[in-house]
Amino acid sequence: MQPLFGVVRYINGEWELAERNFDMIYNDYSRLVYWAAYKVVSNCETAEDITQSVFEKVIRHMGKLSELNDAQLKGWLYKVSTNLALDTTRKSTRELLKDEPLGDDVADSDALPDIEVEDKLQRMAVRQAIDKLDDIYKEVVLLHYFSEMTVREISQNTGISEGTVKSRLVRARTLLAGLLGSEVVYDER
Amino acid sequence: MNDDRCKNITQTNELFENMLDLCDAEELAKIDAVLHSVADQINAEVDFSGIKKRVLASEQKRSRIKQYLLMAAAALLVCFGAAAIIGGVGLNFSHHKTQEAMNTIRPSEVTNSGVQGLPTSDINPQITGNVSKETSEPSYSTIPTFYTRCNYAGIPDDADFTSISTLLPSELPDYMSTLIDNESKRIASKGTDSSGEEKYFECTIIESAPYKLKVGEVGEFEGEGTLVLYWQLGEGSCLRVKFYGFRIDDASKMFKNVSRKITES
Repeated sequence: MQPLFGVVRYINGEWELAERNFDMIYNDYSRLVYWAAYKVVSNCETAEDITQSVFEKVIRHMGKLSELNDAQLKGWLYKVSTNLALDTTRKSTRELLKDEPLGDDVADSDALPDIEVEDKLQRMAVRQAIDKLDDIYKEVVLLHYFSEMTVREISQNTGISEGTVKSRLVRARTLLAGLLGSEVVYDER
Repeated sequence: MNDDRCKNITQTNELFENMLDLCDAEELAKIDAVLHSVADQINAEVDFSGIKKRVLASEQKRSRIKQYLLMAAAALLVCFGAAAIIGGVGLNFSHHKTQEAMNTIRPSEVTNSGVQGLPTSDINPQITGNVSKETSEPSYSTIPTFYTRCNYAGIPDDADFTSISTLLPSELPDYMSTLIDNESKRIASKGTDSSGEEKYFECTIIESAPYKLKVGEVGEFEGEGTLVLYWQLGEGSCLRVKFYGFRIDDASKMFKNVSRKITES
C-alpha cells in the first residue's frame, strides 16, 4: 500500500520510507510537468515558464501535496500543468511561436564530432516528426516517452481507456517510423 | 477547426493504414528504442536545474515580501494603537476642560430648535409703585415644543436665595425701574427707552421648568426680542429669568453675569 506521507525508495541497498520533500517531487516529476505543458504550447521557453509556475504552486501547497500518493500527485501535477498551458495559449495575443525546425545551428556545428552532429540531427528530426503528429498521438508519445508515464497513468490522467492509450501508442510509433524513415539512425552502437 | 481536425485524423488514419503493412514488429520495436533514447537526450537538453533554481529564488523572494508586508502591517497596528491611546487621553483631557467650561454660564452654542411659537411682546405688566401687585407676564401665542437651547450652568452652592435682589443685572438701563416682591421670590424691572421700545426683566424662583431639566441645566426659549431661561437649581427649585425687548446677545450676557453671581457667591 502506498504510504501517505512519503514514498518508498531504494536507498543504500534497502527499501526505505522517505519523506517526500520538494526536491524529491521536483526530481521525480519535473519532466512530466514540462512535457504536459509542451504538448499544449509546443514551445520550449513557454514550457519552461509553465514548469516554473507549477512548481512554485507545489512549494505553496507542500502541506497538502505531501498527503497524496504517487498517482494522485502525478494527476495533480499533470492537471495543473495542462491548465496553465491552456491559459497561456488563450491569453497570448499572438500565436505562440512553435519551435523552429532544423536550422543552420546544426549545420554550423563544425566543431562538433560527427557522431554528436548526427545525434543532434536525429533529435531534431524526431521532435519535428512528433510535432507533425495529430494531437491525440502527440499527447501519448510525449507522456509515455518524455514524461515517463505508464499506460495506466496516462489513462488515469487523460480519461482515456488503457486500451485506447495502447493502440494510440502503436499507431504513433508507426506514423513516426514512416515520417522519420531514413533520418532515423537505429543505434547499433 | 473541428473539420480540420477530423480531416487531419482521416489523413493520418489513411497514412497509418498504408504504413501498417510496411511496419512489422521489429520496426516498431526499433522506433520504440529510438524514442526512448531521443527522449532521454532531449530531456537532458532541457535546463531542469535552472528551472528549479528559479523556482526556489522566486519562493525566497515571495517569502521576503510576505515578511516585509507582515512587518509593515504590525507597525501600522502599533501606530494605530498608539494613536488611539493618545487620542483617548486627549479626548478625556478635552472632556474635562469642557466640563470645567460648562460650569461657568455662557450662552449655549448648541441650538435645540423646537420652539414653535414665540412669546408675544405683550408686556404690559401691571407695575406700579405698589410692590404687592402681581406683575402679569406676557402671554404666549403658542406653546413651544421644547427649549431653543439647553446648557449646563452648574449647581449653585446655596440655592436658597434670601436676597433675590442680588440677581438684578447691573447692566439694566437706568430708565428701568425695579420692583421687588415682598416674599423675595420675584424681582422685576421695566422701562421704555427713548424710541418708545418697552423693556422688561424678571427673575423668579419657581418649582420646575415647563420641560424637565436636570439639576444644573438651563433651558432657554428664544424669540424675537424675547429670552426666557429656566435654571434648575435643585430638586423643586428653578430660577426663571425673562428678558423682553432686549437684543438676545445682551440678554444672554446679562444672564451670564447673574449666574456668575450665584455660582461665585
